[in-house]
This record gives sequence, structure tokens and C-alpha cells, in this order.
Amino acid sequence: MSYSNIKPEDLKAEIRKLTKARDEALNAARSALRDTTRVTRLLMALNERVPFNILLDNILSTVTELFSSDIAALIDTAGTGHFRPIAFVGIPEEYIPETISMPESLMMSKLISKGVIVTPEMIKGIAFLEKIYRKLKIETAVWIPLRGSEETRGALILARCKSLPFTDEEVNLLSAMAYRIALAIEQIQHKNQLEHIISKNRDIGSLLNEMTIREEAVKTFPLIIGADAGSFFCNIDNFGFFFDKEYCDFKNLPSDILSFARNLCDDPEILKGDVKCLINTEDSPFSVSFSGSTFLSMLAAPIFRESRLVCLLYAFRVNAVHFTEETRQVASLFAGQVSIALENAHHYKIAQDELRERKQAEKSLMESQDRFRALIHNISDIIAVLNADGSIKYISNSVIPQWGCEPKVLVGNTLLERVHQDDHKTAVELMRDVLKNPGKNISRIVRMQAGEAEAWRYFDVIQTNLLNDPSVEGIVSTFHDITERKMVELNLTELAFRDPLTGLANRAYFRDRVRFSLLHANKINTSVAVIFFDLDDFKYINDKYGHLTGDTTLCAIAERVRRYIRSNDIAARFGGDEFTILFENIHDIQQLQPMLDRLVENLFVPVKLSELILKVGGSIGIAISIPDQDDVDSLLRKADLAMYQAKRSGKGRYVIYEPALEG
Amino acid sequence: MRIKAGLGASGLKDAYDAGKEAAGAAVAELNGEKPALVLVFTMPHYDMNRLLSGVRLVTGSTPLAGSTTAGEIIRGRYMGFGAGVTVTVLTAGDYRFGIASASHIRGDLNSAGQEIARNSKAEAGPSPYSAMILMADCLAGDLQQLFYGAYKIAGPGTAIVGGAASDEMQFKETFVFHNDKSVEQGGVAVWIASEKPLNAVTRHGWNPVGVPLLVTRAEGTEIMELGGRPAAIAYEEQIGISPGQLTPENFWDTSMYYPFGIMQMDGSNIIRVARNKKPNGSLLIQACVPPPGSAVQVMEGSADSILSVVEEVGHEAIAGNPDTGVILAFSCAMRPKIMKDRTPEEAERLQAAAGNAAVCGMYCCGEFARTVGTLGTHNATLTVLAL
Repeated sequence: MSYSNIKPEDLKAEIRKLTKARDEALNAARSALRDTTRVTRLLMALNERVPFNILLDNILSTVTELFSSDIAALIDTAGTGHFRPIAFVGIPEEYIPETISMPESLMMSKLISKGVIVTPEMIKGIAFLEKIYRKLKIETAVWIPLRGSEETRGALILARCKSLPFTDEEVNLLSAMAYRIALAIEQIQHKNQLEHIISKNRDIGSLLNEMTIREEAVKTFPLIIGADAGSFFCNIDNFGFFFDKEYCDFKNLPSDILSFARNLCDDPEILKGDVKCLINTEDSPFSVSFSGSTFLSMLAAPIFRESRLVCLLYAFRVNAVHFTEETRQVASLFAGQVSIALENAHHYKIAQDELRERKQAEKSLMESQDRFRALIHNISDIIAVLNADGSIKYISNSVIPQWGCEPKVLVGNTLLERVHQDDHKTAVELMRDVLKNPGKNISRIVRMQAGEAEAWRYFDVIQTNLLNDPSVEGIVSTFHDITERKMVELNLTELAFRDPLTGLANRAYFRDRVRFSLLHANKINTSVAVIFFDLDDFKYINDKYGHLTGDTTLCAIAERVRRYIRSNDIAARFGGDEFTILFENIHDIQQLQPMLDRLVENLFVPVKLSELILKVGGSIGIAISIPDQDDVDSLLRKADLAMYQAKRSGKGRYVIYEPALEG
Repeated sequence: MRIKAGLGASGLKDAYDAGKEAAGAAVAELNGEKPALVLVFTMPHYDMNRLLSGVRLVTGSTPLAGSTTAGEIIRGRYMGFGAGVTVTVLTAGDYRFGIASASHIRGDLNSAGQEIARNSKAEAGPSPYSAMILMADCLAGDLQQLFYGAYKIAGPGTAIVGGAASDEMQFKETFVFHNDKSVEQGGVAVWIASEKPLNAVTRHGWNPVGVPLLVTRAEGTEIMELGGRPAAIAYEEQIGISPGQLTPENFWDTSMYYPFGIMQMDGSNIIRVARNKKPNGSLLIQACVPPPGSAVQVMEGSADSILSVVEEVGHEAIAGNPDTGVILAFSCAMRPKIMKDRTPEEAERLQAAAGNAAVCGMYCCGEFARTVGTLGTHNATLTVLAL
């Protein structure tokens, strides 16, 4: 076709037609791209690795721009327990109240669950919303429910101050996006809750006073699970207290709440070890009041000691907002940690009391001994006179009941013959010092053979060089049997540093060893590695088969750990079903490879207990110290983080910490 | 009560003398009425502390805000690079003013925006309507974050205008002013509490030429990919030249006529300027980069097209406020590059449209004005507020 033959008016018409077609195509492309950009922009914002508050701001700035909105707010009642937005833009701060009334909160709950287009008529009766709609001249708004993986968390609210209604397509797109937003919030909040628990675990775990642990738990509990107040009830002592935010002080629970708590201790769910929740509904108008507030929602987590319910840890919400299943799990986890901390503190107190009593007894004994010795040599002590070469010149008759032999048998022999091989050095040094220091009393503790068999007892040996005293011409030696005292000391050490159930090191000892190892490693420019693992579904084993089976399982796992680590490595029960292992002198991760393979292969095979075969699963996190950078807390935190990563990657794996794991 | 504006300018070389002279001329125009707000727009070559001392010698403790610029506007007259300083003094009229500033805002712009909005609002006190003039160091980073923070506090009931301080486009050091202080790497907000609605108007005069494209990769101040292809190649294709024809040396001379428009849902476009290309094919964007996933299209404009919006801006600004005493204008420093020797026309035509209201303002490196959603930073745009 030649254009030269076309009439000018036809050509113009052709151009108009082509231009129109081009413009239509361009408009179609623009429209398609606008929809694409809505989805991509929001996905990009959700996937950015930024702190939570920045993520929320990014979400709101993106949706306001993409949906031509003047106002946006995110309400997360499931996470926070109240109706204040966790993020908002375009609403002056003073328009949002700290608290809202009960009828208003019930209306808000209905709006959140119902959505979607919320007209000014629908918010009548909610005073602060009416004010916001009126003051900001909101003409149209959508409340998109934020449905997480389990349930509705809250709502994404978008509003326009102009007469431009949200279209069905926009609402549908927003609903799809809201699901992604809810999941992102859910994941981050869960991660934050766990991190909060991990960090609090360190704080609470390091406390050794039961009352301090309870107070710290009451302050922390509402923060972790998004509640307005916390309290504690002790079932044994029958007392309870709460933290008064206004006065920043702990106060006793009023008597009506105490009796409510007492009743709850008989609740079958609580006695089973489950978290119990109560909420104000039309059918069940639950409410309690203290500290000037009325609370409409409650969660109680039981704390057991040796299968006995000892305490309840409470959290209260002012609004009638229920605690989600996920929050209940977190509450249960935290209560478990508080339980372990209380148990440790309890054992510590027993050990302290024993130590104090023992010291008191010893002090009294020492005083009486001093008095007695001042008058006469203690006839139960063995008294001997030695020659300069250590041979026995004289030994008292008290040797007969204590060492089981006659003095005459011993005279002429060297004392060293009866000293424990491991204490020879001490005994030789004692003699050397005594010979060097005539007239001076010098003492050492050595083990000596007390009887014919291999029966070793501890003696406090006091020697005085009187070789130059013409009336003696020898070294006067007194042997005072301190075996019982020594045994108590050893037991106390064992109690202080061992986990009584598994026999592994306990948390305090493990932390101490890691600290010491890090100092040493820094000096010689090597690293230490820490392994962290816990058992999946351990709570299930405890719940289904009882605490005795749970304890036996823990012992079986501890035994496996012992079997597969080297003698120099230190394994500990860090708390509950958490275990840790310390490896020293690490130059390269390759060194650990065979060990890790062995652990992964053997640790999580089923445990056989008479007729039961229990599946135990778990994942392992490893962190290797960076010389002169890591301390105990940072190393443990890294190992812990690696373990959570390993869990996410699938059960029965190990993950080595790397900085990229930091969220 | 209608607000009165007194305007003065000086081109004296000594900073103190220039400040004193401009402020003296401005105050004289008020015929003895008490000023309630002082606005200072100046070239960057002065010693700023001495300049402010000179101004404050005349205006005393009257609240003061201002900025270094890339040119000033005074009663319809354009003062180009190196011309000097302008001082605008305003009586209170029916308004109450509050000023707040923050220094070293880079890295925490959102919080800084919230802080200066909150504090300036508190100083001005509550009112049914309000506006905010926002000015900030153009080198402080992604100023959209500053705007977002300010908007969080202000909300849709507050008209926000303003601009990013310039140093006559040297991009070395810019300042904003708060009372007697030249604020380093800072932002300043003037809150205007009002009994009647206030109106901000924004237009640019650019028109789309290319097909819409998706930003598939962008980071920092760069767009790396458009529609999955190297950004520079896609851009050159849109403006009808062969790939590689634009070099770092000749890029700006062409790209200033072809900025990007970020497509908004209401069909409008927010302008972003590509300053240069990198050897790897990325495009360097002036200030706020469109985030990945944004839909953009290449725009084109001429002196005629960008000047064509001036009357509309002026008329619309005073239409909502017949008692307008002053129009505060913030125009992009890039617009004179297009308007060339017709640059003075912009101020003249705006003054003509404004009638009796005095027009004053500045040329800036990025303008603040909320048009759609919470996006409030622009390039190559003219934005005004009528008081």
C-alpha cells in the first residue's frame, strides 16, 4: 500500500486511529503495571531485613502510596492485647487514647473480625474513632482483618479523606496482602518473644534468690506475651503479689484475687501442666480488679517442682482480647524457665544452709578444740615423733583404733609409707618446710591409710620441728581426722556444680568453665566451641508418660552425650531439656566434624525404657568463639541462635553460627 | 485578619551588613506592625552566623526559619546564583507559628521528622487547621523518610510544603536556620496553626513519553535495572537514542529534559531526575530513588510545558483563600536549567497570578508536598502555600 495514493483526510483518520490504538495500549500497560507494582512493592517491603518498627513503617508507607490513602494503621490485638495500633501514619498522636472502655473494646473486636468497609455509621459508639473520623474528615475506610497462620491477629486499616471509595479489586488485593503482613508480623513477633525469653533466661537463670526470681518473672511476663499486668501466686506459702506499674513497686494481691488463685490451683488443666486462659464474654463475664484497673482477660501458667504445683504465673489484659495458641506456648516456655530458675535457687539455698550450718559447727568445734588443746593434747588425735629422715620414733596409742595397728609395728618405718600416692608431694614438702623452720607449727591435709585395706582417710597433719629441743629431739606430728568434714565439702562442691538428675555439669559450672576457657583461649590464640541443643517434644513425653519417664529420658540423653564426647570436653544440662557441650582448643571447625557427625547420628535415636520406645528429636547449634571478641553470653547466644536455625532447617541437623543468622 | 508580608533583599558582600539591610527593608514594609515570623532565603556564600546576626539585629527575637538555596524569589523577582539574601517578615494575621529544628539528622530521618513536627506543633499550640513548612539539608539522605516522620505527626489535616536546602547545586554543604542558629546537617519545621483551611498546591508540567516500566533493581541512589534490563539501556531506548550514546559527560544535558515519573494510582506522576549513568549501566538518581517494584515512565518537558503550570498553581492557591497576603513558593533548582533565560518568567507569572499577595520563596534541591498517600518528596516541581 502506497501512502502517496491516500487522500490527506484518510491519512489523518488513519493517524488518529493509530494514535488511539497506541494510547489504549499504553493505558492498558499502565493499568497492568499499577497492579503489578502493588504486589511487588509490598512483597519487597515485607522481605526487607530491617528492625520491626522500620518494617511496620515501610509497610504503611507502601500501602498508603499504593492505595492512595491518607491514613493507615496496623492493629495487632493478638500480639499486644489492646487496640492501640502498633504502627500508624496520618493520625495525630493525641487522637489515640491509652485505654478504651469495655463496650468500645467489644465493638472494636467485632469490627476487626468482621471488616471490611467500615463506614462512619459503623463506628458510632466508639468515641475516639468518631473523633478521628470527624477531625480528619475521613470519607471512606477499609478494615482488612490480619489473619495469621492460626487466627485473626488484628486489622490493617486504610482511610481516605476524599470521596474515593475503595473498589472490590482493591479490597481483594488488600486482603491477600494482609495475609502476608499478618504472617510477617507473626513470625517477627514470635522470634522477638523467643529472643526476649532467651535473653531473660540468662538474667533470671543467673539469679539465686527465689524471691528475686519471682519478682523478675512478674515484671517480664506481661512484656513477653503482650499483657498489661502480671502477678505471682505461691501455692505453698499461700501468698501472691503483683507489680504496680504506677508506683514501680511490688504489692500484695488483694484477698479476693488470692482466693481466685487458690481455686485455680485445683483446676484440672492447671494440674495437668497446661496454660489456662479466661476471657470476658457474654456467656462468661470473667473480670478481676486490682491496682486501679479491671482486667477482662487472663492467662495463668503453672510452675511445678518435683511434680507438685508450687506457683502460678499470671498475665492480665485490660481488654477482652484472648491469648493466642502461640502466645500460650510462649507463656508455657517462659514458665518452664522460671521453674528451672526457682529450682536452681531452691537447691542453692539448701546448699547454702548446709554450708552455713557446717561452718557454724566447725567454728564451734575449732573453738572447743583450741580450748581443749590448750589444756591437753586431744587424745583422739594421733601424736607421733619423727626423726629428721621421716621415720617414726614414737607414735601414740590412739593409732590403734584409727589406723588399726599397733604402735610398735609402725616405729622405725617412714611416715610416707602410709600416705596416699597422690599426696606424697604434699607430705614431702611439709617435711621440707618443717625442717627449714624449727619451732614453727606447719600443717597440711593429706590422705593416709587408715587400716590394712585401701581405706584412705583425710588427716590434718600438724608438725613442729623440735629436733633441737633436748627433751624431744624429733618432729612432733599431730594427725587430726577430718574425713567427715572433707566429705561434706566435696558433696557441697558436687551439689554446686553438678546437675543432680543427670550428673552432668550444671548451668553455673558450665558458664564458669566457658568463661575460664575463653580467657585461656585468648591467651594462646585459639578458640572454644559451644554446642547447644534441646529435645523436641520433651513436654509431650512429660505430659503423656509423667515426670519420672521425662527424667529417665533426660538421663539417657546425658549418658549418650557422655559416651560421644572426649574426656576433656564438658557437657552440661543447661536447664530443662537443654544441653550444652564445651570444646576447648579449637583451631578449625573441621576438628569438630567427626564429633558432630557422631552426635547427630547417635543423640536422637529413640530411647528404650522397659516397654516404651520414645522418639526424641532435636537440633544442634554450634558457635565458635572469635578470640578477644566473644564472652560467655555472646557465645551461648550465638549457639542458641544457630540451634533455632537448625530447627528451622529440619529436625536432626546441626548449624554452625555465622553472622548472617542475626536477624 | 489578613496576614501582611514585608520583603527585603540585599546583595551586599558582607554577611552581617546584607542580613541587616534585607531585614531592615522587610520590616520597613510592615509600617510599624509587629512581625511574628521571619523567613530567610540566601545564597550559600555568606558566613551564616554573621548573616543571622545581621537579620536578628533588626527582627530581634521574632521566630526565624530559613535555608540556603539555589536562587531566591522576592515579590515576583528571580534572584539567581550569587545574588544575595532575601528576608520575608510576616505579621501573625490569624495564624500562630511554632518552629523546631534538629541537627545531624542523617541516619535517623524518620525520628527527626517526627521530632521537629511534634515540637513545632507544640510551640504553635492546637488549632482546627494547620500547615507546615519543612526545610532540610539536601545531603542528609533519603528525605522521604524525614517527610514520612513529619507526616506521621501532622496527618492529612496539615498542608505540608517546603524544600531541601541547596548550595547553588555544588552539593558540598547546605544549611537551614532556626532563630539565631545555622543548623548543620539539619531540618527545620515551621508549624502554622490556623482557624481556616490552608491549601498547598503542587504541579510540575512534565508529560509521559515512554511506555511504563517496572524498577526491578534499585539500591541507595541507583536504579540498576528497569524491566529486568540494565537501567541505562532501557532509559536510552525510551528517549529514542541508541544504547551507549549517552556518556557520563553528556548525560545530564539530555536527562534533564527526560526525568522519570513514578506512576501513582490516581494517574499522576511524581518526578525523579536521573543525574548520571555509571559504567555498569546503572542510573544515578537525585535524592529519593523509586523503590524496587515501582512503576515508572520517562517524562518529557520544555520551558513552555513547565512554565504552563505556574498560573494554575497561583490561581488555585489563592482560590481557597481570598485573603491571601503571601504565597510561599518552593521551585526545583532543576527547572531553571530547562527554562534557561526564561527563568525569571516563573516568579513573574506566579506574582501576576497571585495579584496583591506577595510571592517569595526559594529554588531548592527537592520539594516537599504531599499529593498522594504518604509520598511527599518531588523533583522538578513547583509547590506553593498561600497564607
